[in-house]
Amino acid sequence: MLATREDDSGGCLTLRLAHSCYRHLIWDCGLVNEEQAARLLSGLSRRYADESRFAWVRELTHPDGHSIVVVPRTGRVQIRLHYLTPHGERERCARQVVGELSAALRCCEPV
Amino acid sequence: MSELNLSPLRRYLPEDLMFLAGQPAVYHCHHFNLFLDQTIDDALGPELGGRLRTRAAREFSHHLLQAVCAKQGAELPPERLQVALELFRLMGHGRLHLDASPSGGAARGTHLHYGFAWHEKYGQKVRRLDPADAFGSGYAAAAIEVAFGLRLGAMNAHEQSCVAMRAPACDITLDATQTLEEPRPFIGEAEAEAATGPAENGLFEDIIGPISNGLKEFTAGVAGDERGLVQAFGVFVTMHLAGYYNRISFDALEAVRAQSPHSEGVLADLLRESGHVCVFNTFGGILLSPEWEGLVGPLVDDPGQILAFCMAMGRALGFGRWIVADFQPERRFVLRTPCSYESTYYRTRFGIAERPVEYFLQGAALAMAQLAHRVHWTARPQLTPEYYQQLFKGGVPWRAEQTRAIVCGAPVSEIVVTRV
Repeated sequence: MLATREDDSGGCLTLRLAHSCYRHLIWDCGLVNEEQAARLLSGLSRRYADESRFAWVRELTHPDGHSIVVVPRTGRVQIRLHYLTPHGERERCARQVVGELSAALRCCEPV
Repeated sequence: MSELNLSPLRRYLPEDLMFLAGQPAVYHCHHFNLFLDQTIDDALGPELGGRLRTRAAREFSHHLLQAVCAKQGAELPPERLQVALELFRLMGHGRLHLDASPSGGAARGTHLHYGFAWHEKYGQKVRRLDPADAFGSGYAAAAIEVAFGLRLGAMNAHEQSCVAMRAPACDITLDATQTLEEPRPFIGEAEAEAATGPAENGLFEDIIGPISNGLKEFTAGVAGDERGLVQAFGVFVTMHLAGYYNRISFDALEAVRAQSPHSEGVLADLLRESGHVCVFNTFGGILLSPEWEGLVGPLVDDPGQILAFCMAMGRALGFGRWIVADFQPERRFVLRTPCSYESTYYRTRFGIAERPVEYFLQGAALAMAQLAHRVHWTARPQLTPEYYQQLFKGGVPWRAEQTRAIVCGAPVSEIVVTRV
């Protein structure tokens, strides 16, 4: 019933397979606080396109087509890999993206 | 001809039935869609079941496409075909390519919702022997009919190969036919309003209303991606024609009643189970999504709140103005609504029923009670088939009884769910 993987491979942010029917495309990261969420959004803004439709759930798109969803009020961060990511590459790719997110947070604070 | 966008075509009645260009429409996920189609094929066999599903798709797609082409100002066949293909994609049903004239032709589908989703869900475990895309086939037939100004039923469609059967794409043949179906009563907004009772407020209305409005605003922007699929809330979502669900359900019931009446109860139970499948997967997926968390906040394990959330979701998905008429934790939950997509269809096509027939609504109400009381939402469970089995098979501790029914002449429909 619970998620199958939990890992701190991203440095600051943990990575956990999220609920979905998309075979390892959706990954939840550990929660960040409100200040970190703002910093994360700011840090990603150079490389990611902001495609948010609402202030209450922000969606940023990676140049490779992956999305990062951030809930500012709770600090929830979710990685949505592009559907063309090969099956065997999905976990590695999620680790790579969470690494970028952690870098954007400058890895200076424990989560 | 203006650019096609679903949002201006979508309208909710004040009683929360949803319409797309005047056709009753709802949002349902691939789990529900596959389960209901399979139920029909189990009842009638894959050949008869497939034929019924194709005809139902053709009928309601024809009405939809006529209305959308009129609204878009699409008058010429190429314009109408373009509208049809784009609408199909936006609704989350995949991509269709049509090469046909009034005398027939072919359609090719890529990422068709049913075939693709079936392959994703079962393809590694089960070898499917029959094509899965009756909806896409019927839609393709309707697109040709509307594009060339043909009568409803003038075009037959048969899916010859399907990705669910491990083919590289879905291939559909289209043939002109002289054997037209008997016209059936049209179901639009006026017919729905005639079968709708007075709107009421229930418990938790201060929670339900704002969330429902927020969800409606969110889903207004939901549309198929470049594949024609909607990946949202952990499932593949479609905006679908309620008439399709209703016709395949009620025609299958009628056929089973005529041929093997002792099996009618089994089919009714499976239609109820479609409500469990929807609530578990779609409602559960919405509750676990970041979008929900952003709109509403973190989940709490409070049955009353979860039921209130379910009412909000039901309204936003176009199922009707569901209210919590009564709630006693661990004991009793009463869902009431002034309309449902099942009752609208039944009243328009068949009139007054001897007994309640809102099977989906009955199953959904029971499933909501189970999800509200038995799921530890704060642990963010994975909504797996195993977890579904655990929750809904082998002794569900609830009983759902429909005590009032619009189809029986009551002003509202009411499901009373009590602890066994």
